[in-house]
Amino acid sequence: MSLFGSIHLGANTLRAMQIGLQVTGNNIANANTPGFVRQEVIYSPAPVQKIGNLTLGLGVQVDAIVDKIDKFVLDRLVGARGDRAGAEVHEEAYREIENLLNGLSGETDLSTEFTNFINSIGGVLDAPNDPAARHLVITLGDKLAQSLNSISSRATSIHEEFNDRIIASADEINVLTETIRKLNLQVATVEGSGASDSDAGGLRVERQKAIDRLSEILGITVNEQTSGAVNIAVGGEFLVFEGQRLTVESVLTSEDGLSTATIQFTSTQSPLESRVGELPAMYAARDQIVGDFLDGLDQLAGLFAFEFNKLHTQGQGLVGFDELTSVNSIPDADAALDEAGLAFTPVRGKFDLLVYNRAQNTTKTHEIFIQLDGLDDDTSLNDLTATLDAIDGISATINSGGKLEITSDSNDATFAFDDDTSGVLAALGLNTFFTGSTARDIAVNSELRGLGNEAKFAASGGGLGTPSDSANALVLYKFLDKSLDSAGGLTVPDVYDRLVNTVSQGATVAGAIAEGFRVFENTLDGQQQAVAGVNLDEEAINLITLQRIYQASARFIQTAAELLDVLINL
Amino acid sequence: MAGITPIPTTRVGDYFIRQRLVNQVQGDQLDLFRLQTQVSTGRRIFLPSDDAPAALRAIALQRTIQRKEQSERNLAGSRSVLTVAETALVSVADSLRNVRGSAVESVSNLTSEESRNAAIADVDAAITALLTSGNANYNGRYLFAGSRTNVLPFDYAGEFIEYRGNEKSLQNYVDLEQLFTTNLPGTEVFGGVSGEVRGSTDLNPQLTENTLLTSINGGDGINTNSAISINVNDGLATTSSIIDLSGAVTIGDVIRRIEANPPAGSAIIRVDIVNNGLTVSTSAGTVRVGEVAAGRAAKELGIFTPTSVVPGPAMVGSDLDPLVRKTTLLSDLFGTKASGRLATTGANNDVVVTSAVNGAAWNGVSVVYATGGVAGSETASYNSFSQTLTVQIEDGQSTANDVIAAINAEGTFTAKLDGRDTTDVDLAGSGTVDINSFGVVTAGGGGTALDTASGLILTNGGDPVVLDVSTAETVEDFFNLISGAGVGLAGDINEAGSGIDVRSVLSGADFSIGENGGTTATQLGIRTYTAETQLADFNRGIGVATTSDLETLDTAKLDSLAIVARNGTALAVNLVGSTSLQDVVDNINTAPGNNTLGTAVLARLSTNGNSIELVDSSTPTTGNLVVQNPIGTQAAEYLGFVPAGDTQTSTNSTDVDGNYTIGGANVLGNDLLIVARDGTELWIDLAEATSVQDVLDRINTAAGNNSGTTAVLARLVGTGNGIELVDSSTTATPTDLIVRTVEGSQAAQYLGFVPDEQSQVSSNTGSGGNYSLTSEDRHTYEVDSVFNSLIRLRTALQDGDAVAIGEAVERIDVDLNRAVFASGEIGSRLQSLDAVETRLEDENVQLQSALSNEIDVDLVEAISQLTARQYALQASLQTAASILNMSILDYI
Repeated sequence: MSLFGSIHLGANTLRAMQIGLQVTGNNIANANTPGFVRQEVIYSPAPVQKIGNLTLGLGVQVDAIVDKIDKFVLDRLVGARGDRAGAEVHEEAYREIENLLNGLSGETDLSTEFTNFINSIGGVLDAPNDPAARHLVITLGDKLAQSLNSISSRATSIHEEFNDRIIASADEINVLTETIRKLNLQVATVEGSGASDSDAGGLRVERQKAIDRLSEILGITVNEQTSGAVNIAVGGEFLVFEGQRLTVESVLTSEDGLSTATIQFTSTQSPLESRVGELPAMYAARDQIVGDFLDGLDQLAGLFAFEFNKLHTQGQGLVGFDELTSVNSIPDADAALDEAGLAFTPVRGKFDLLVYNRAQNTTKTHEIFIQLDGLDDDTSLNDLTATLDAIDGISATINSGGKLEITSDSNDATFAFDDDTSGVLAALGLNTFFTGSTARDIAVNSELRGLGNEAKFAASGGGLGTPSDSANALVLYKFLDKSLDSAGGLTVPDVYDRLVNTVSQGATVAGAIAEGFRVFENTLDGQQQAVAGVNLDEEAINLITLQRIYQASARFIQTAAELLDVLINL
Repeated sequence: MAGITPIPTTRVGDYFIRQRLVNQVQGDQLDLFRLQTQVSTGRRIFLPSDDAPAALRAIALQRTIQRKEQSERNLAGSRSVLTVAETALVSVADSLRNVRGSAVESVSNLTSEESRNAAIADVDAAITALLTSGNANYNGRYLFAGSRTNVLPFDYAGEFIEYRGNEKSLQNYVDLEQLFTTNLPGTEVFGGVSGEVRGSTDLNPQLTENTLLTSINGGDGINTNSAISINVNDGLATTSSIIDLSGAVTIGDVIRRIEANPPAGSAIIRVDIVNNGLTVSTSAGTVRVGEVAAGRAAKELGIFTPTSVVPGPAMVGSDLDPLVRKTTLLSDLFGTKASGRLATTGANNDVVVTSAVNGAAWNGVSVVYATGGVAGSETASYNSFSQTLTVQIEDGQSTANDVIAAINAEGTFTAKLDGRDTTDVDLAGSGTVDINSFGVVTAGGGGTALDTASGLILTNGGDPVVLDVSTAETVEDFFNLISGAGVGLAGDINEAGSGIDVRSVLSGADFSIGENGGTTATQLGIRTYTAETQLADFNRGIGVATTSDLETLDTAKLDSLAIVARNGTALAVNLVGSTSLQDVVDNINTAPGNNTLGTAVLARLSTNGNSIELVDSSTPTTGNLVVQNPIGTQAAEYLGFVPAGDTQTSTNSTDVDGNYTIGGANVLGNDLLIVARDGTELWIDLAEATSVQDVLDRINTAAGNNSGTTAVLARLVGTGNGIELVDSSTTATPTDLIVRTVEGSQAAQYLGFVPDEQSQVSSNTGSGGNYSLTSEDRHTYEVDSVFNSLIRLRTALQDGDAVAIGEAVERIDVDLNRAVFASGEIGSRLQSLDAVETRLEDENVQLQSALSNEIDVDLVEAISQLTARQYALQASLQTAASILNMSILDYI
């Protein structure tokens, strides 16, 4: 042991403390950096020197600079982020739909539109000939149809938005995996494949950020290798393996006018499947939340249109039809009407065709039977057309578009319908109020639009010619209270309420779940930050300690130097 | 409020602290903002998910409130209409009282034209005023037009007033479940539609394959979604099948479903329509039709086999009594058509043959195939003598379709394919028929067919209109023809759905429906003048007055009398037990001692049949013919032989033959006298005759009629309405056929034979060499309305007819009652609207309060929360500031 040795020991200490100061300085500098993991210098006594029987310490040495991190908590955070991010997507989807429905406004919501429309029929009840009252019914019917269209189209755009986000996710996943792959290489290089005990610090932080984000998008499994690289797998498939990665791509398929994007591995074209995270949540939000809502809305609109039409087709307007073309077409005119692909299926029954002669003021009733019991000769569009065509004063043909056209043969003759037990008129779209079968395409029949056509609103139940009564309007007015067999005995408001309830319950539940996941994530984050977060006071204490050691070491060197001076001056 | 996140237990970093503090402050501010928004909007929840159960209740409440608000609007509309109607009716009763007053006054001064003209002017003014009231209008809607609110309800049609509205009312929902009748049809206020000529006959429409199930059993139909079971026993075992009838609409559906689902392994099941019912038969074994579970369908279809009945090869069902509907074919009324099936081995070749018209005459017809035809031009011929319909075919070549064409071309029967034999729609009827197929015998025909060839004669105020109904196919066509005749008449199916009614809307006119030489009106039950027509309804309810006294024989007064013949023989005549004048005559003629030796006192009925004449030709003539009134007896006086108070009548006056005669007084009355062209007088007593049939019987059985050369037949006239007398009496020197009023009775006038103011009517014309006389139709219907009464009153005033004025005044009283009642009805409806309105308002308050409970914010709570949160935020900010301020660096 020499004085030089001592000076050397002091110098080592100074270096070690400088390193410590730099790490502390770095920690202080990043005290406000999100995701930063504080580092700690690991000191250990330097190797000892054996001098005779004595074993002398040689001061301090810096073993490593390590990240203060709880890997177990970090792993759990990866899962929690995915859960939270997924739940937030659900929450958002429900919230958007809720906003669409605006169910509580009492002025502009769909429920009010339904009620206003039906209420407007009240004005026709004791003034069946008042064009203004009839016109209001058509206007409000139009408004209702437009509200349904608009909600449907806005819900569809939410659907599209999720698609866009899914497509964007594919790019983001690729960017993130590329980042992780590159950082894997750098971390491995810096950490020297385990040759050094030190961590790659900032590189790891960067990589962890990418992993955090990726874990929000997908439920991933992260495995750190001894090299310091991490392998990331999704559902058994490796997205990143050491310095390699697999790319993903989005593909679009189209169904019912809605396009649907999914993400798959570019190489294998197998779908990227995960159960947690934003991506599956977006799938679910798009297909289940928005998709089911659209289905529910379509069901509501279809039910409303068909059932209202069924009642409307039972009545007559102030004037009969000179000509009428069915709204819906049938491609195969020979097919039985219940197998001809109509949106609504007619059943065995009959309807009356009333032929009214203006000159004579007489009505002739023709019973038209619709045979649909599957036993023999079920009625096809051709059969129906032939039956109608055989009626005196009326011609019926099927036009090139597969639609039934009925025309009266003379100026004196007009026609109307009555007492349809088969639903065939509503199914074909003859004398209906609405057209369409979904929220997207529901509209007021164009027959009713236009000046004077409000007279065709079928308020009357008393046939043609004799000026209208309001017997059918009375039935239509009670429509909202009518229990519908096709809806399992529910009424239209029941079906609407069920739709709103599904959305609002879903929104409530999704909100609660998201909140739960947020708390859980925050808790884990708290735990993580409890280990990794920088505490300035702590760092200040470290700083002082290091400073004092440095000062003491300097004094030690000075003392050693003075001793040397003594020696030299001897 | 943001979730509460636990604090780490070990150490804490600065970044974490700041993050947490920011989160907490944001959470507090968010809560504050939410509370502030709640306070400023008054809403507790903004989206349903804020409080899903409350939101859902709120949506339902909002909907109910919106519906109730519409109810209130409906109610306000109804109130306006009723209020205007009430105002319009205020003057009606006054006008009517005025007219009534001046009419009554004018009766006492009928001779003064001035007074009558004044009354007529009053009537005209009243008609105008009532027309104005009746045509009252609100917002372009006529208030008293029933549901035809855009049609002027009362208007002149020539000299009459036509009601153009209907008897329905407009209705509106003044509450969710309360349907309120908004207006009174004009008929309920002013009258305007006649009582219906009720279809007196059940039209008994035929059951066909197209008969709706809802229209059978008199309209009760059958339960929907029902099922029946068919059980066939082939002698070894019973097999069953369940026939699901849910969704079946017509009888044809039932037939097809039963035939398509025979019990497994059983023989063929056939269902035929026989006698307006279904007959289910099996080709082997016995068949029993049962219910499924506790169903009623088999019973409702009339084919249930009770357990007490031993099943046979066929279950013959009961008459299903289908309703008359607008689309019912006239040819399907009054009976059934005979039909049968012509089956050939093989598929697609069976034919159903049905007679073209109703009736049993077509039962038992054999339909046979015979050779001799050429495929494609088969012929059919019907031999009515042998009752055989022969179709000449080319054996093995002719198809079922060919056969059908041939039978239809022949026309006696109609033929169509039997669908059960069809394997494929495209092959239907393409199977060939075979000469060996034999032998359908038609059955099931019955009843008659409607006479559509003759038509009707309609009269409503104006000239009679002959209505040709031969073009009508359905009941509706028939109605269209009636309303199209332009005489203010309309037909409809009666309430029971079994027949038809005809009504008039022309006030002031007499209407009637008569035959046009056939039976159309009678068959349809709408002839206004039938044998059953009550005489009391003649002459607009005045009836047919007959002589008021001497109508019946007082048999109690027929005790005994004593006659002394001119040869001095005393005859004691016991009349006890006599019930007619003829008995009295007989008793006198057979009295002990009479017609023996020289004694011959002949009693005979006078020519008018109402008194007795005694002719004494006894020899020798020693004294007078005396009729005595023994003490304690009444008969001589009653029969008019002895004047009241005297004890006897004695005479020696002689007739042309030198006999002594005593004539009794009339003890019975006559109402009219018919003098046949052979000069025979037929005295007709209409006492207690109540119907037209009674009148016909009295004439046809009148003493002297149909004896000798005399033959006067009374019958309903074949064309139009009235009683026709057909005189086919034989004589070389015919005189006119005469109907004459007698004995002060106006019956001949009331019946319409003799014009008013005249005493007789005669005829020497007729068809078939007979003389005939037809009475006017005095049994007319009229509209019961205020306008009718006024028009009648006007006519009566013009004619100066006091009786008719009195009649009209009585009717005006009825009209007045009706109008007053209608006013009261409107008043009470307005009152009930008030009650409903009050209830709606109360409910609205309750509903709004319930809605408010669900979605509105409790301000007290919100503001106290706001304050609490404010303090929390302040405290949080202060502590945050002090935490962030503290640093060890300050101390080193």
